[in-house]
Amino acid sequence: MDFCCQGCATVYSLLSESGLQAYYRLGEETPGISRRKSGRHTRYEFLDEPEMREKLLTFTDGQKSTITLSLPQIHCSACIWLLEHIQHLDPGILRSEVSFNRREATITFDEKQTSLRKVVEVLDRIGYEPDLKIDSTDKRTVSRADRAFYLKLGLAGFAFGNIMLFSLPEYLAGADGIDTQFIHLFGHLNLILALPVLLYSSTVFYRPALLGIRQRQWNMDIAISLGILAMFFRSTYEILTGYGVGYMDSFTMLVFFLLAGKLFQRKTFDRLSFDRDYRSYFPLSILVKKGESEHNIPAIRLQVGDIVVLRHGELLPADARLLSGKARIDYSFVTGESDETGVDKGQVVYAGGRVMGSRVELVVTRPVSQSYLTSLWNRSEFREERDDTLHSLSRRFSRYFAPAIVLIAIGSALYWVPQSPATAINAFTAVLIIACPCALALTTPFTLGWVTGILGRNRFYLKNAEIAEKIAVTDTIVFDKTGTLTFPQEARVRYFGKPFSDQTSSYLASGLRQSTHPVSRSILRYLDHPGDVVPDSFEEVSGRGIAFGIGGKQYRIGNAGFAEGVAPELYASKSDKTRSYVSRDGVCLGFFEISGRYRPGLIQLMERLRRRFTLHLLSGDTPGEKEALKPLFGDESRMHFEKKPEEKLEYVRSLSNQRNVLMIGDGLNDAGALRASTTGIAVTDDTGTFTPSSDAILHTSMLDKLDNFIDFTRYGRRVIKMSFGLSLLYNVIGLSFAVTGTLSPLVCAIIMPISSVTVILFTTMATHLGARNRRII
Amino acid sequence: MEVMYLLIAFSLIIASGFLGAFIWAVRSGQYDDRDTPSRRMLIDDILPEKKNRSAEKKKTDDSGGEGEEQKIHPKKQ
Repeated sequence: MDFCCQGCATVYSLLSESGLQAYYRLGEETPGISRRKSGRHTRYEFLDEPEMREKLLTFTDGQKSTITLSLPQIHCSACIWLLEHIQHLDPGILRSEVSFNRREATITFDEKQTSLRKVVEVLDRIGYEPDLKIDSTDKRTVSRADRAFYLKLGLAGFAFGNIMLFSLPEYLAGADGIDTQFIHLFGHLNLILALPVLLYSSTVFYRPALLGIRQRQWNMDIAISLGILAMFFRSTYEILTGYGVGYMDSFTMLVFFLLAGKLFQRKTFDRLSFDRDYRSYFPLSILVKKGESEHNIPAIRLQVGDIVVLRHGELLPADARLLSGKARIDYSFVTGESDETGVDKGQVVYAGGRVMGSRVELVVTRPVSQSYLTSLWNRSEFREERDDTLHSLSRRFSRYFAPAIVLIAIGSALYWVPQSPATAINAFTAVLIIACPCALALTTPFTLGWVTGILGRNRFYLKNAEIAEKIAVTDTIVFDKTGTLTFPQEARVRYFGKPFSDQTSSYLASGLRQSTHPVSRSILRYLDHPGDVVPDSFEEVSGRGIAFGIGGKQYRIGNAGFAEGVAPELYASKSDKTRSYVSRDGVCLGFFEISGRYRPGLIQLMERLRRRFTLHLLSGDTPGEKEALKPLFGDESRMHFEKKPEEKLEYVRSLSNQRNVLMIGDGLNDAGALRASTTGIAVTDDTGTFTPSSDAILHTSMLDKLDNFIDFTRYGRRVIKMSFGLSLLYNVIGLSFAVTGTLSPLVCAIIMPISSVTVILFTTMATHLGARNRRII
Repeated sequence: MEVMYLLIAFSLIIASGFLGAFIWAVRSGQYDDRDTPSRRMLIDDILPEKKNRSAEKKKTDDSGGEGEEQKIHPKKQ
């Protein structure tokens, strides 16, 4: 078997040793190919510390412990199989259960035979590096709320089915009716069955209704709750006085339909996290030097004055002053700026900087929470709860609808009072019952549920269904540059050929470091190696490549003619990709393939977008590419470079005061801007890895369809409007019965399901048709 | 028609039985994750092979992955 790298070969031998090779026969993709490159040296020493253990473990009694680990690398069925057989790799593991959607594994292990650290190390060794977070306590409460929702729905369905059975005889009996004894019995049974629906299932609507009343704002739930209560109490009265059979069937059906609609709308993408902050990016632990000894402590416990030790590729979580000689710091994480910065002894290095090259020591000058980068999260934008329903049509509509219904109900009651008070009450309740916006309330969840689902199939994941309506009102789009319009630095390069040994990597990195050519910079970043050796000789031939001698060997990196021993069949190169060949002492080792800076389809996309939206560029990078990007944005005045995260936030905030801004970014430096915009979209190459907090996550391969997606959400809004019209029509028909006070339970039991089902059918067909026309289904 | 009472009682008892089963299913967490079990059941129950480690290790080194691949296939059938 061929493996992509040495790491995967190691995994294979490890697995075959334990008899787990079946892993390679399972799943859609060949496992072992997609292992994320982890050049950094990860250490899990800190997991032995009681404080860390206590925070991470979900359960422990000293002998057995349970932990739920987030494993973003889970991607196919084979992963489930391997992770659930992990006890063969470490006999101390007692049980392991995977949740595919959430990309989590719950592992129970024996404290005597193994430890948390060993378990995590085993996982890391087979390619599932756990995403260790301390503040991951919210997930369990979500699942409990979910259970309650299923119970409410099931209960309503149960009551609805049985009440329907008991109500049918009355409807089918015709003029003679059925035995009064049975009417009596069925009525009372219905009442008993409907009671839990009123008291338990319907609570879903009462709470938002009460909230609306308290805030003096009409909403859909007020209209629903009024209808529900009117239905139940009028039915109860009719049954107990023997006056009629009541509307219990319609009542339970309504609750069941509405709950089903809510379930449909709740399409969540469990495996994605939309609410990450800097804590998810920063290392959990950090090496601290105390006197002569060094040990790992949790990064959040860093205090001013602590001396931290960082090695190549490690991230600094707090602002600190450099103690050791010189250092190279890569701030691309914060600014998107791709070049390394040199820092001298005594100078301050800001949080978010990545140390390149050899090991450095720094003294902390500001704690993590108040550092340069993390202070962004102390701003009000991050503390305020965002209102996702701000642009909701249904919310706007119900502001008129609900009071109108109440007015009609009171009006018809007043009209009847002089003639017959009994009819007045009948008319009043009948209006509330028939106007109960069942079809209306189903419109939004079903339309948005479909829209979210279809977009999700296109790898455009919305945090919740309401976001679709917010995207639809966009009139201004702000782009980040690095990682959004361009490829992120490390994703641009791929290597084909003989794998490098650690020493070769080190030599190549050392040689490449001497060159300032952009291609050399990209390859250097890809190699991700300190490269501290000083070459014996170095020569850069402009337009062709570099040649250097290290460790008694001659290396050449450059185009096919420049490197030596390149086989002719390797000469072929794809249009937008350049190749850089590597040779050592006249033998070709392989080549690096570097893709173009801009994402494919970008020029066409921007052209289409420019016609309909105002486009802005907001980059942390230097204005070096201004000229190249100018035709994409048209106007220079809306292109901004060298913006700090804070400035990005300010810019977007002032912009979104007047306009509906869609911000598209990828890095932590965009987090503030994403938050301040109307809708923030994070783009990412791998939905399993970190994305900043956002409203939606878009896979980069789909970026060129952005205008299509915005179009589709607008279309969704049109569908909602049409569907509102349809259900209003039903309401008018129903109301014409109701105001006269003669609303028979049979009419109610027919109108209600017909209106609901036609509305659901209409939105389903309309959204799918629209998606097909836009070629996104 | 008195038999109706009996039938109604029966039907309600049976229906409540189903409701009880549903409540139990929700409470025992069967609705918490509706995706993983559906994938898990499609994986055949392949047990990791038990073998003599040292002998096997040598073999793996010699013959590479292909040999392994062929060896486990017959077991599946």
